[in-house]
Amino acid sequence: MAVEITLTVNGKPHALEVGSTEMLVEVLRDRLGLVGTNRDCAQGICGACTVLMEGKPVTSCLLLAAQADGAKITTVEGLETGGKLTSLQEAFMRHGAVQCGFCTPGFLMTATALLAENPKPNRDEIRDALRGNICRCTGYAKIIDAVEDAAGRG
Amino acid sequence: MASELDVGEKFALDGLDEQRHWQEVYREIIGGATKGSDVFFGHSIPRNDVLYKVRGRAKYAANVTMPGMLHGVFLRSPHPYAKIKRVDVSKAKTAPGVQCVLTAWDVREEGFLVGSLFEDTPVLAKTVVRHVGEPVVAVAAETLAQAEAALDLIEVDYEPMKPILTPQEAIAPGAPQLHEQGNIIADFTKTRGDAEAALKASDIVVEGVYTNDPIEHAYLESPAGISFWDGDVLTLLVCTQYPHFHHKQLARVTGLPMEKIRVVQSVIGGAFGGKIDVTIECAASLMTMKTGRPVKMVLERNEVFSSTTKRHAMTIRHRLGATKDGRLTALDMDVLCDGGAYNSYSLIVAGRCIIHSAMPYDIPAIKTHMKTTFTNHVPSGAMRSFGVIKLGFATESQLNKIADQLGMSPIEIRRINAVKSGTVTMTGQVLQDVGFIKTLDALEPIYEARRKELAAKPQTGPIRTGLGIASLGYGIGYSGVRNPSTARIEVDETGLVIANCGTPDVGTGSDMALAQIAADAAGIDIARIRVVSGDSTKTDDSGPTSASRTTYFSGSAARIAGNDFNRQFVEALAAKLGVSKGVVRLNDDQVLVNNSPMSFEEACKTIGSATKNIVAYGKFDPVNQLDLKNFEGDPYPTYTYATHLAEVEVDIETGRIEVPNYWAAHDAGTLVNPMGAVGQIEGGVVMGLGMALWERIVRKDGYIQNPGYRDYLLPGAKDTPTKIETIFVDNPDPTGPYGAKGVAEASIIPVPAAIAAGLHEATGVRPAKMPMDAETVLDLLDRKEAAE
Amino acid sequence: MTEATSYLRATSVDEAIAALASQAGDAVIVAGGLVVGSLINQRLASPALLVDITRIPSLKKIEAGTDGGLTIGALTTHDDVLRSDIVKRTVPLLCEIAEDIACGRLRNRGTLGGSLCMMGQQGDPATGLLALNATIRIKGPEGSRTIPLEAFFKDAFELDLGESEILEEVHVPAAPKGAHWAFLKQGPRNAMDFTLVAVSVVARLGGDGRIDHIRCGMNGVSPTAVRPRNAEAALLGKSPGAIDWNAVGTAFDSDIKPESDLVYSASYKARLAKVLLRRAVERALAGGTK
Repeated sequence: MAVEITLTVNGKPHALEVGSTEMLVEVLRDRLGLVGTNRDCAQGICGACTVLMEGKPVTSCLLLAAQADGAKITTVEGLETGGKLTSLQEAFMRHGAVQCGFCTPGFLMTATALLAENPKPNRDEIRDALRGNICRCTGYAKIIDAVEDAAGRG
Repeated sequence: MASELDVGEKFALDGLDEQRHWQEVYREIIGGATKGSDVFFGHSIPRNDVLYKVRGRAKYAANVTMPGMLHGVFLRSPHPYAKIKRVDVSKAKTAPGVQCVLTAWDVREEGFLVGSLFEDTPVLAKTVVRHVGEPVVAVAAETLAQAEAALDLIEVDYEPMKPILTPQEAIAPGAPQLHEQGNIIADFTKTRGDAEAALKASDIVVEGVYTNDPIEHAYLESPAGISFWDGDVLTLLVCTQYPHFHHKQLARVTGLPMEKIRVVQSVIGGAFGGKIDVTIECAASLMTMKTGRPVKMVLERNEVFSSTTKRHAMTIRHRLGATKDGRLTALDMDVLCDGGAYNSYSLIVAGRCIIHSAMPYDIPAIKTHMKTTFTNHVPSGAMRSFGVIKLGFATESQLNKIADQLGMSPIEIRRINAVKSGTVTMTGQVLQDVGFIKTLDALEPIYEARRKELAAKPQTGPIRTGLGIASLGYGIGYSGVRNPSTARIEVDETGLVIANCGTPDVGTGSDMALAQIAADAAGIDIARIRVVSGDSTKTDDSGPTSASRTTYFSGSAARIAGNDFNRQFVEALAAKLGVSKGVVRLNDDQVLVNNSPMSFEEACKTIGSATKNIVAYGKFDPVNQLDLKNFEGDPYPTYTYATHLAEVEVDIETGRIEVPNYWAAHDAGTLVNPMGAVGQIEGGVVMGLGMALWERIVRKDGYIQNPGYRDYLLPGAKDTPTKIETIFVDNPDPTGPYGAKGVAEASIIPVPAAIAAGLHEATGVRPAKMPMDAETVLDLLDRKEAAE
Repeated sequence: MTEATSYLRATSVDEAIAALASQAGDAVIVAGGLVVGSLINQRLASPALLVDITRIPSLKKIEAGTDGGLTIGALTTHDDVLRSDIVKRTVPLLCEIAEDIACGRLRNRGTLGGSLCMMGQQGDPATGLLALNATIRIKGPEGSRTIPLEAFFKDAFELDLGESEILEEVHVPAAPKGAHWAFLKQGPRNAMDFTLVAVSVVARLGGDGRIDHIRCGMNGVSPTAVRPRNAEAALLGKSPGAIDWNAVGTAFDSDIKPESDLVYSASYKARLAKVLLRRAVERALAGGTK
């Protein structure tokens, strides 16, 4: 069954017809071409598909697109403005917080929400906020460094 | 070749126009990284690809779509071992949206079997399936849902057979033979002196049996690729560690000539040895040939668990002897190893394990034996350290046992037995520039100081704390075979420099390291260099990115090519200007002609179309030969060494382990990109922690019980040490590029043994199996209590 | 299954109930969608109808009652609980539990009602609510009924919830005056804060220094979240320094039916549960969270 929804993604409104069991991540990737949000485990564990809904991190592989009707969604593509990276994105680059990069969009979205709420988190708070995102390459230390640094600069 | 693939940076989804602005942004970001220095080598320069990764514009294969693209899926074996009696795809062929149903009967006979070392694995199973998850049929349809729906319409009749589930069963008399070669993949023995007599004569002998469960690579990106016709060239964009392998293999599988095939590495979401074998490459390409259309295949995570290679499960019987003053006298090691249903890299793993039996110690008498068999499990294959982590767990634990029994410091016993420059290994290799003892020296003061601090803290309540030490020595490159790497550097009239490097970047940032080396050697700005790697038509086959070989091998090739570039460039400019080449210099991105400066761009423009003739070439091919029968020779050009210190906290009522602090001292030669090197070590430590404490593939009757991240437990941010301190000792390797050698794999090796040692110091128990989950630890504590 | 499954966005509880009733058991309620989404992705669920209840305003409330207790709507997310000043003031135990659930992105979607209706193992809030003697209100075609939460959990795959019924809200009565609370849990690792065993304890010392009130809730040790009544009985009337933990443990063994999983055995879980129970009781008696 098709369900009509509207979404505002990265500030841009969309009117879409989605399937009743279609997940938000599929709509973002396959319909809107926003492939920066990665899909992998499909069980809500890895966190690679994390996006912001009304500013809060959600697991887009488990969220029925129909349920997101009317919502404001931010994806990794929506972080940069006017050709400039956010201080968080820059910090991820400078600190070596990215290796293979597949988990990166999820970490960036989670950390973006953290800094919006708590602009000066300490390391423990950062670690705790990132606990639902898996990274297999970095061992996390450099990701935590990057968030800490971005908080300092922000 | 005019292709979309050649426009712009290889790792970005956008074309060149889109990228120009971001390349400027990138230059600004790296601007500060080399301030005050005239070389790029040794600086923590942020990577180019990362810009696109933080923007969500990275070209992972799953992110690529093409007009007319079909979606491919596999039907997989539900049995660990069964004869195939009948495959009926007639209903699937006429299902909505289906464009291609591929079975074994559609694959030409010459290309029916594929494989990394041996061609033993059917592209699609025909008469027999040897493990759960083995692909049997492939389907391509207009949509993914249609392809999946068609799988339900395929009828396969199986005649299940009794599977072989352990190496013991595989070698039992009368066992069914899984392959023509029998059930034995590897059966290696190496002796040095008379180990049995030396053990008898030893003052102290410790014994142990060490085991581990299979491990998943758990790269975050599932294998994915897209095949398509680019003109008349069958092209495959795929996440792989080794595009050239697939290129050659596809030639055989498809029957197309080599020049009509191209394999390009997509941005790769982690590999760790798990993206080196065949997954979707052959099926996708064959379906493109059948339909003429692009075919994308992306494995689901549960398929990754059920069908891709695993780290080997091993049983290691270990005896280690020493004199009462701590000198190791003899080692006797016997390893039985589950290779799974096909060869994959099992032979290489076995060979490397034999060679590393005693590493990093000088042991006069050795007997080491390793047997790997087929079973009806998913194939075991390459994974970070090629099996050496398990040897490390055994040998390092045994050495710690001896140190404890003799009342020696774990650092001191390592120092006494350490390999040094001039040590002759059991293969007869004379080691050079060994930095192992430096890693011990670096950690010793930290170890002693932390011991004092912990001793001063009263141990009350259920938490006990201990420190554990373990070390490693690891050979760089292939084991005992020549494995050259090459680089080719070109320039155009605009001053764009392309460095074609043979080994692809698998997410570690090796492209950046190669650019740093090439820029310094060529005497130009790193921002000019675009590294092209992972394209089977652009570079020579330089082997896979594996065995920690890229910095050392490809880095050396890049350095040679860079020097050659400088020479050719100077000659070309001199010829064009009609001056002697002695008055032309290219240094620090500055061209000087008779001491008057000229910009690099200007010089390129001056050389004009003759820039085409500048084709700098570098090949690095150290002479490493090992007689694989009796393991005599020089298996590796160099080795990397390290010592790790783990601080372990144990809750003695629940068995739960935490590792609050961790120190890693490495001899990695000179560092090309310190930030990248530290990242490799931190990542390796946490991956080792996962294997030590939580990760395990649980199998029952040939079926994987935990094919997802809900039950396969990966370490998260809250599981990692609060502090991982990485120390690099000063030990340039004169044979490596600017003194560098590899670092990627080694950091994982000592982690389980260091944690086990910390657990022992904290509680007195010694685990011999991984993972050391809370229940395992509590059982050990119970048994110790019962024994007292 | 995309084509076959219908979707209804209910705007009232009655509309949702009618929709459930119309499908004779082949309808699934979707709230936060974490469980349903995972089942759909793994192709383990293909209901005829998905009833989305997230747009029903009456299910999203947190209200302090006149009795000092609290009423929480079933759609309240764990994140809502965590950030609620009312909850923090009246039953901070629930905030403590919420803080340790999974991770932010799952707390933002996961609901209190959803975690109580999970089959196999209920989420951690059930432990706190059992210890706090919560009741729940359920509405169906026949009207509303209120039952103790403890009675809701019948067996591993059985809740006291009809096919057309909806869990509307949870009522938490005021805790006994002077009681202290504690919550402890251990997962197989720290990442994601999965639960192996979790325990909540509400306890009070009487004027004579003996325990005159104790209620506990646990998960991970039985097919459902449970209240270990025998262990509670063994603790009641004891003074903190004179608890015979062996006797409590023996009593506790008759309260629980742990099952082995892929990694941990039933006996380990029982043992871990006893350690956590002891620590939680000791912590509560020592002042815990008030």
